[in-house]
Amino acid sequence: MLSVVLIPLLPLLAVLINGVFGRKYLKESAHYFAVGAVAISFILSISLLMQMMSGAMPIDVTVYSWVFGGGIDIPIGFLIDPLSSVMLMVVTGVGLLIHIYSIGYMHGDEGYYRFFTYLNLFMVSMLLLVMGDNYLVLFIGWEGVGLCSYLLIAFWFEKESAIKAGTKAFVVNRIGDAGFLIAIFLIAQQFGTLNYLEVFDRAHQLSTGMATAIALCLFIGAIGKSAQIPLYTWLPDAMEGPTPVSALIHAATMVTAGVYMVVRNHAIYDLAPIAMTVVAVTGGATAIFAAPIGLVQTDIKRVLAYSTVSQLGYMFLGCGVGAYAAAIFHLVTHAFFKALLFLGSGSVIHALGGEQDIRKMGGLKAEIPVTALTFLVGTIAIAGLPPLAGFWSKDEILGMAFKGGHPVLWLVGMTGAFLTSFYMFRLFYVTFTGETRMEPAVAHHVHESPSVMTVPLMILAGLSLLGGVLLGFPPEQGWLHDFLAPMIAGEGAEAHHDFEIVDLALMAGSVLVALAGWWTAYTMYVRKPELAPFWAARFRGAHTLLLNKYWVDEAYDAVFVEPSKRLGRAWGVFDRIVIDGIVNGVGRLTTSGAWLSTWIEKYILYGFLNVIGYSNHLGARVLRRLQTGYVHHYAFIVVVGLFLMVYVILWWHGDNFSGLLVPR
Amino acid sequence: MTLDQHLLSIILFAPFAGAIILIFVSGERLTLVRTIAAVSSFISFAASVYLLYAFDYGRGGFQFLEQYEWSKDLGISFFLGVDGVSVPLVLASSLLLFAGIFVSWHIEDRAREFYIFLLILASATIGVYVSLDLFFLYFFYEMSVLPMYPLLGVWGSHTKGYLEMKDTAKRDSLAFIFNFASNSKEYAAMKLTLFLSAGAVVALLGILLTYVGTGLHTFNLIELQGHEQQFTPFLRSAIWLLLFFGFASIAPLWPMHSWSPVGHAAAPAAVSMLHAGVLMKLGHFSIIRVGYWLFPQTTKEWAGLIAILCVFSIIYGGLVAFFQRDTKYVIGYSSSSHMGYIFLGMAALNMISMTGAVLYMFAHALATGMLFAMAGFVYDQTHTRDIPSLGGLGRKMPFIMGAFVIGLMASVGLPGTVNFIGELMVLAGSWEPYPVQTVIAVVGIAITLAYLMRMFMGLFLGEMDPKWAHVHDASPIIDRLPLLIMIFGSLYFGLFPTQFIHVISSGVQPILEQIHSAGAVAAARGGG
Amino acid sequence: MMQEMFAAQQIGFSLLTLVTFLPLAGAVLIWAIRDTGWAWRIGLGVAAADFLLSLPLFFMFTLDSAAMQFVEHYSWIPSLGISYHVGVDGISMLFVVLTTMLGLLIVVYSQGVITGRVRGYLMALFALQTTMLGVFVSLDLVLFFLFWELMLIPSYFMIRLWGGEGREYASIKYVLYTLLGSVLMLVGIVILYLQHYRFASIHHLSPALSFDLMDLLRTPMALDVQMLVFVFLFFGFAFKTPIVPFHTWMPDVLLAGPIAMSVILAGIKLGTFGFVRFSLPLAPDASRAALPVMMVLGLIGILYGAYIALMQADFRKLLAYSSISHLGYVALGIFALTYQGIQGGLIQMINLGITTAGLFFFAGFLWNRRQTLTIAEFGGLAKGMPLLATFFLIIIFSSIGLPGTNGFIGEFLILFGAFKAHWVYGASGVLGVILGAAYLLWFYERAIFGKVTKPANENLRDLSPRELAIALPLVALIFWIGVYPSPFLHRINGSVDALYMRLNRTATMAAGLQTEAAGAVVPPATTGYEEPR
Repeated sequence: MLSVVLIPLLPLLAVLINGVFGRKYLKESAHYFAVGAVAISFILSISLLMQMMSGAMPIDVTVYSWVFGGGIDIPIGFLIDPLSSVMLMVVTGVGLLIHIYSIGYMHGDEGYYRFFTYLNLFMVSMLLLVMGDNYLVLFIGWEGVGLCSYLLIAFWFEKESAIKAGTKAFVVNRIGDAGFLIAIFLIAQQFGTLNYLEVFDRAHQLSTGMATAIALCLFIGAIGKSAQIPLYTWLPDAMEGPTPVSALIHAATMVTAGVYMVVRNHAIYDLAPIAMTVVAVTGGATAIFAAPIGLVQTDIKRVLAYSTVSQLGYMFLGCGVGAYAAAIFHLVTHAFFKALLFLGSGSVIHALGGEQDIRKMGGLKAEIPVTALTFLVGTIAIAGLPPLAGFWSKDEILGMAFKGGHPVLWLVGMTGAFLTSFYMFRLFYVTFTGETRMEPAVAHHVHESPSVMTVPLMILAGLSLLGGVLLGFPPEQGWLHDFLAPMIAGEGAEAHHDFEIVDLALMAGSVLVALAGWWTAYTMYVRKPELAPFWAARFRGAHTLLLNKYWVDEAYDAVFVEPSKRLGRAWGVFDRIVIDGIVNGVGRLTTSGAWLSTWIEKYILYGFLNVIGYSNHLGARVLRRLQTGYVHHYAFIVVVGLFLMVYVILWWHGDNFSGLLVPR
Repeated sequence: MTLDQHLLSIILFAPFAGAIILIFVSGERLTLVRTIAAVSSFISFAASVYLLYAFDYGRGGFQFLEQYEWSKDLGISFFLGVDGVSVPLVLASSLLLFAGIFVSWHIEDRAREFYIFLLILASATIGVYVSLDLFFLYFFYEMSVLPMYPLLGVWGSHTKGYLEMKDTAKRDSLAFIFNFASNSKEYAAMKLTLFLSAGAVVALLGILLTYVGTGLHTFNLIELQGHEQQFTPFLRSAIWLLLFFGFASIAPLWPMHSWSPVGHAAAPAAVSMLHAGVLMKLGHFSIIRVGYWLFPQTTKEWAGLIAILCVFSIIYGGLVAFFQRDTKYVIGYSSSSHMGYIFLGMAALNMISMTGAVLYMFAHALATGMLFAMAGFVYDQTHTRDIPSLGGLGRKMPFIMGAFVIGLMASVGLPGTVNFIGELMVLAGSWEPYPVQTVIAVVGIAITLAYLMRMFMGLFLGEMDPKWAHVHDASPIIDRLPLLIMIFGSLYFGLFPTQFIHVISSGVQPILEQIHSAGAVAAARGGG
Repeated sequence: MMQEMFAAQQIGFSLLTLVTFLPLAGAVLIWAIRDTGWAWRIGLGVAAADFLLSLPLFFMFTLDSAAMQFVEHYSWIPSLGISYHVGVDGISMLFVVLTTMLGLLIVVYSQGVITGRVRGYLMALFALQTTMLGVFVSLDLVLFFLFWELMLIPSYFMIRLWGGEGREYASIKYVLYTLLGSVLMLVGIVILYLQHYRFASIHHLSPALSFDLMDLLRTPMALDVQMLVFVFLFFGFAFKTPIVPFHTWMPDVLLAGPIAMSVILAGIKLGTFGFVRFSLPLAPDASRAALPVMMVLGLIGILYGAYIALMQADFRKLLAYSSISHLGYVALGIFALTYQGIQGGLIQMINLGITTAGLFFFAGFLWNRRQTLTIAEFGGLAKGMPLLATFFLIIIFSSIGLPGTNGFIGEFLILFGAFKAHWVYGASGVLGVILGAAYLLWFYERAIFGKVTKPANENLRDLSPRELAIALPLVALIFWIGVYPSPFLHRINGSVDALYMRLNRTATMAAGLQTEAAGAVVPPATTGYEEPR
């Protein structure tokens, strides 16, 4: 229990320490706390994994009541089961490596302490995300990683593009979050609780319609976080952040949160076939949609970014066809090789003093051999060549798609696989082989990264080499499947499936496709380098389309961003002119009424009286001698009044007339 | 106890006595003159405070009766007495008189005569409130108007634009006809006296018809009461309307109000205070004392008319006040607007609203008294009442500014002032019979705030014209005393109005009982 | 809601009265002492003392209770049924503490800023504080109205005398707007009063005349009467809140008034408090009937404010419209009439008192350095002012409603509550969440991030200790409520529970009264007052 709580708590303490004391006191030694905390978390995670492997029951720890009242009690609580322990391993393990790597990469940066603070804050959020025992804790992590993503993308806050990318990432993520929130509301309304175990226990009570609604809303969240169509545009831009960030957040952990979430909620998805189809189709579409862009990108990190989008598509494809374990498997392997690739690219960038354009690289193999070698391992792994990690996991997803009766999706996946292999080898060849195209000033300083950076690369390369076999061999029955089985049991086809000839055929197909990609890249970029510009010129339209990323960003700007701004401006004017105008108009109406009343007062009421007065006055001017004032008017009336009074009295009491004057 | 037996006489005649003494004092001896005026008014004031607390509201009815036969044959007697309705008004009159003496402290031009007239004015007003004989009620009523003429004509001031109108070339123009010398104090005085006398004559006709109609040979209000059924319905209504419009012209009810702002504007501060504070309430009071008291059933029939006219008063007065440049015009129109609330309360014919109306009369006396006193003070300092040419005086006279805020609060009826209690009760009472009028009336409150704030800002905020560099705050205690008294009264009775409410409701209750039981009797008769 | 725990038993002395009137006493003291230096000292002392005195309210509050606590009840104007009746429950207690805290922070802030007419400023500030506290603690409607109206006077002077450009217009607009609303509200109060009188005199209840909230809550009312009451009270509260389309005073005042006034107006949510305290419990059936209208108004407010905020070139205007947007959320939560909605609405009102107030303080910090708040004038502040940038960002994220900050708790509960009322309300409200992030981050991007483009921004000093003293408690509260809101929820829940029950009670009690209400215009008072003896 304590160890469970400590896992996110330690990085949080590191955040506090670095955040408060970093700027003044810790400065360049900020990483001690940061790395130390993550390392301990990693060790604790291992112990938890061991516990799970030994077949212990899931651990559900409630720390304290967070939001409660009105029949709902949402605690801060953690759930450790096979799925979350696997995720813990990925997060803390890869996270630790990237932390270590960052010591070298960020060395000398002004915001060193700040970087580690953010990075640890990210760890906290990500750990909450995967460890939470209810949707709201998941959501804390969910938004928390978004926040850290924002902070880290905009880490170099003087760089215009970085800031814009950060804001974009946050806002686009929020769109997904809105869907996620609605899903949470639906779940809370349906079940009266947000605890996973309770929800999944009673999930079968849901109607199909409701299950579909919840599943789709959850998936909107996943789309945002995991950069799927149509909300993927933030991820390539997010490459503006420091490279370890790209590795950790935008490849290995945060972006896979959507996959984790879908797998976690498989109990609901299983009830909603339509939602499953949507997930599968979205995944497939993203896989095939993003990959071609990778073909033409010239920024080393952007190629990887589109590759990530594409790979995440595979994971969702897996989820959508019910291959949850395969999806998680791919998540894990992808974490290995994509982190490796990113860190490798970081090493390149580091070596080249910040250069990211592959057109200005080439022939780096000799200059930075460790990086080149490990990068090659990553490339082969992602390309899907056996026996490296990517092969096993990707093949499993594709196999499941085919056998699950989704040949179109399988075909899409295969095409994607070809493209992946092609652009990744392209990247490798252009960067590391051939003639150097470096600018002389840069070339002069090229150096291999320090060991604090290369060791993580090597570890990751090892994992990319062996991880697939260790975790997922034999296919569909590997260790990971068995481990996750209790968690995602009952899905028939997956649990006990004999290895058949069709599987072998599919595997062979995959290998062939990957090799074809390799061969094509080799032909175009090594053997006949003139081919690349030729094809580009030949298919100018397509090339331009890809180069501009299908103009999706521009389209979004035109359809959503600009209209919003215009609406804001228009409403601002409306507010000032119409609404405020009404208020002021009422005021003016009142003053107009006041003016009218004053006019009436002056010219009608006064006027009426004054005309009488004036005739009097004229009379007075005639009788000049009496014009000493108007007392006489008054006196006159008083006298008349009193006379009248006396007269009436006397008239009424005529008989007393004499009595009044002459006493009887 | 002898004091109690003659309490009303003391209140009534102390100022009179002061006036008479002043006749024999040399006008040169200013301090003596002022002291005599102050002492005599203080006696009256103190006695009325005593009256408020000595009044036995548990018993109700008319108390502190004093009756002296005057003419047996005509049925006239000098008959004094107060009920819950008159007590607060007596207090208001004597309080404003006392305050007014100090407000006028710096008058040096024929001060003796001024004080004589002022004392007569106030005591005549008190006379109306304490008379239980119609003859003397009318007598005091007329007498209260009388001193207004010299007070305006001699000590008043011309209002803005007066000089333009002296231009002889313009004298025969059409504009002149429509705006006939309306800026001179003589005009104001004339208009005021003419108007009020005309109203008085109309009311007098009603009084005489009543006298004649009952055939009781008496002007004694108590004896006259309960004979409404002797009149034919037509005659009854005719008398009631004569009384109503006759008295309402002093109140002033729209559209008979046009004398009032001019009168306020031309008058010296103390006179404006008394005028707006208590003289105008003679109208309401007399309607209640004569119209309501003698013709309860007719009152019930005609109450709707009051409710309609009062709304015009409120809104129209408020709107016109908005565009006035002259401080006193603003307050004057505001007063005539606020009289509408009193009429609304009177129209609703139930305990809470009638009590509220009477309480509001008292409250308004204090609020408007404060405002007029301050407008007067500013005028004394700057010799102008033109709002646009003033401004920024707040720095020079913080005390006056602070007091003005309280006066504004009171006038708007913000809680904490006695006006609020009155307003609240009027609204509470009139909501059920007249919901629409009630809502319009509350909107009128917002209008009140608008023009008073406009005036406040115009006087005290903004840039100060360098030519007002010499003005100073009300620093001697003499200058502050009247304001402090009124502020204290307004806030004290705003926070602790209980005594007042008990006293007033004890006076209102019998009147309403008459109105509603008379209706019941009539209904029963009609049914049978 | 009906039970009362008296201060005499809970704490032994008149704590609420003391807390409420201490600032006023401070104002009088400052008036009496004609020395500016001493005025600050006294001001700081009084504000701190008031805050400390209000803390027992928080800590000695009986948890999960719907009862009115720390109640004091004295007869005041018995002949009209007005009493001095004060007390706090879960709905109001937190606001009292919030007000005293903000009061203290404002004095701390002002001490570094205000140089002219110091005594007047402090007096206005303290008078304002007393009236605001009075509004929160009053349990008698006339007493409430007293404080409510008197608030106008110090507010007016604050805006008019210590404001910036356009203060004349803004001050007048504010005062007239609010007064118009509140006089209409007075009609609503009067209707309640008459209803109670009628009910009490038929059933021979005592007291027959009462403005006391507790008595009025016991009075059943027919739906049509409730509607009237609701509509009239609506004017008062909606103008003050402000609910779109009655909001146009807000941008003007927040722009022209002094920072202190902006903090108060944006931070202390009197209008929405009025809805929860009076409209909902007194007119529950009418509230239910008004639900769609109010929810739509809330939604309009959220989107309308957010869109306009998006395009503002001035930070304070942006904040003003964002306040309007946030108040839309609060309205959305409250009028969902669900448990979480009301709970979230209350929490969010507290949150805004911390967050929006904090943003205005920061606007003040920026203003004090540059004398402008045009966003384009800034840029690149993060470089030279890391502390400011950090705290600013935390507060912005609280305003956006990021989990872990207070804003999330409020927003989540509100949206969930709205969702429970009808999914459309919840789902539409969620859309505002996106916009909220957009306009604030865009601001931050332009003003704080980026390169220093204006030479004037080059050597700005970072937060001073005084400014830190303001920012730190706010940030601490942001995280406290965000991470461990339990103490707050335990204080709110009891009252929310009672209110929720009341709102969802069927209107059977009102049925009996229908006939009476429909009866002819019988002036209620022909039988006279309840005589005191």
